Amino acid sequence: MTARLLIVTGAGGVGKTTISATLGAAAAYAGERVLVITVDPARRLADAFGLTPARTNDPVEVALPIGGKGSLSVAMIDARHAWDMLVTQLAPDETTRQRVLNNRLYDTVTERFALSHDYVAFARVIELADDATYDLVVVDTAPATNALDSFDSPRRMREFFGSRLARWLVVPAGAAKPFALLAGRLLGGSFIADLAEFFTLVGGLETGLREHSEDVECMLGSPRCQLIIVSTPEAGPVSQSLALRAHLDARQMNLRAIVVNRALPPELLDPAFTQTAVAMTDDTDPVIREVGRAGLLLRDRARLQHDHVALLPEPKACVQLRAGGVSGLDDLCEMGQPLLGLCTRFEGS
Amino acid sequence: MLVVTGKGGVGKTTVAVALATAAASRGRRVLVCETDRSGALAQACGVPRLRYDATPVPGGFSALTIDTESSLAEYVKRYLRIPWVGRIGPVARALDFVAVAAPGVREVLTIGKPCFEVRSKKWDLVIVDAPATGHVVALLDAPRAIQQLTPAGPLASQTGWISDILAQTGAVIVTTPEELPVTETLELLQSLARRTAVTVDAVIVNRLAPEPFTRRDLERFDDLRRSAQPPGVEQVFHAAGLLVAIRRIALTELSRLPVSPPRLVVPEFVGTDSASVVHEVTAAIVADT
Repeated sequence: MTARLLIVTGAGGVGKTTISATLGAAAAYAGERVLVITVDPARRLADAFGLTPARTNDPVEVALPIGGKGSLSVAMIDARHAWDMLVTQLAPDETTRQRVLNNRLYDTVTERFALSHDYVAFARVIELADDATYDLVVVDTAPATNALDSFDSPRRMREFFGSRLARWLVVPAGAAKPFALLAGRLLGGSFIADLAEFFTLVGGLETGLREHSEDVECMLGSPRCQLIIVSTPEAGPVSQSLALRAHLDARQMNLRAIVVNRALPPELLDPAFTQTAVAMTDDTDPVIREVGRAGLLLRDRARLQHDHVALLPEPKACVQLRAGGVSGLDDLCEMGQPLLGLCTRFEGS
Repeated sequence: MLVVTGKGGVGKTTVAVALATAAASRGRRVLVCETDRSGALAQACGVPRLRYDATPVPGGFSALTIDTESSLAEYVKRYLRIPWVGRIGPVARALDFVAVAAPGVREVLTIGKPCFEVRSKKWDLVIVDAPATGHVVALLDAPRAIQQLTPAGPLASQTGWISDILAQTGAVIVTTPEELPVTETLELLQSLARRTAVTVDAVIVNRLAPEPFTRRDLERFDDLRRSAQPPGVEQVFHAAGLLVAIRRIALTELSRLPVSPPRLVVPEFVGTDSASVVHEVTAAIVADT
């Protein structure tokens, strides 16, 4: 693998997709060959880039604003399609492949097992980052999953498909009997029979899946793969980011930085700002008084944000709130300026 | 029964607790149920932790937290009369595993608990602090999913009375005046109408920033801003302009919401502890109803 990887994670609603797009756009503008990859079914990445392409498993190149020195591609992964590819890759023979793909429960399991979405994204990253086409690959993790679970997905996939529980279903004996009995009484015998068949079939993929998931795990832990935690300057996301960071440390994964999205401008905290605003609240003009009060209100909010952000350890970077919203690549390239340092060469590349 | 849902991080739990406090203050017997075991409900209620059985909390109502394991144990004890309930732990974990392949199993065990509380007639109002938009439809659609999956299974025969309660259930969608929460609210309104019998009673817009200026002030604001100002004053004008822009974006997002169901707006509160925020939100909701 030659490309550097940045995996973007964080609590729900903080703007992971926007930050992924921002990192990608800014690095591409500065001269890197970049791929941004997502499994987000809501096509938010396409929206962030101002694109309306059909779902694409293969990278599509996006035109950079004038003056851009590198290149930018986007891949939006269809989890279901990626699963089919994975089964095809791992099945020992054509019969097994066909039987897995045609099983009644295959659709449900692949669609509902949210962890598998991150897993297939990581799996695709291994393929795409393997050649020398890209300098940097930015991975936007799925919005629905718990960020903590997403990095456990290789292990959880192994557990799920190689599980003793699966064997319990296939051959209920001994300690498994009460389970099979209860499951049967709850759900009916025919459902359990279908499920047993599914796991028998998937059992044929187990060896391949074990090796494959170990490759994914190895990639996630390697020094060329670094993580970005996205937060906002509010209490909830900040405490979630701290929990996530502790978890990543415990797993010895490489944290590149915490990116605080939608931060208020730092000038608000300047004592001179308060001084001027307070003086304005005594002005003879009522509108000026009101402007002073509005300034102080925003300053209060900035102070509260500052206290929350202070809890986050270094390294961290802030992306400022944009009053006009984010539209198109120009905005993304500009917003990404403070983040450029995070995209440049890091250890192991 | 009232289901409170919305995108993650918009303040669902705070609104659920505020609604409970408001109803309790009018003499209703109220129960709030947490469905995701996040512990957020305990925090908003001001207690260290909640249990699977209803516990009275300081707001004058009761609260509980649902976990599928206890729910399964209760179900097994009540309906299947299987004696080895003491060993439910590993079996529940195994069922959790089966639930991945069986849509509706985990959900029906989760929604079954508040429905059971409704049926017990111990409460005038049961509020469900439901999971985020992405999962709530699966929760409310669980009885039908079970019927489809295992029409002959014993669990399926138990879903009838749950469906009856869900048909009389109301929902409140909490959103903030931002792009993604509003988009998810619109999507949720559609899928709730299409796939469930639940009626959406209101959309609660949480954390709307205050309007800093009147329209006439704003005209003068632009004039004053254009006239020469010392750099410090210009910065304050810039900040006030940012506040106006934030409010304008919020209003644009709100205008995307439909006229019906009715909208209830809760202003933004800068508070440091959850008790004071719940207090303010309760006051805002009571004032508006």
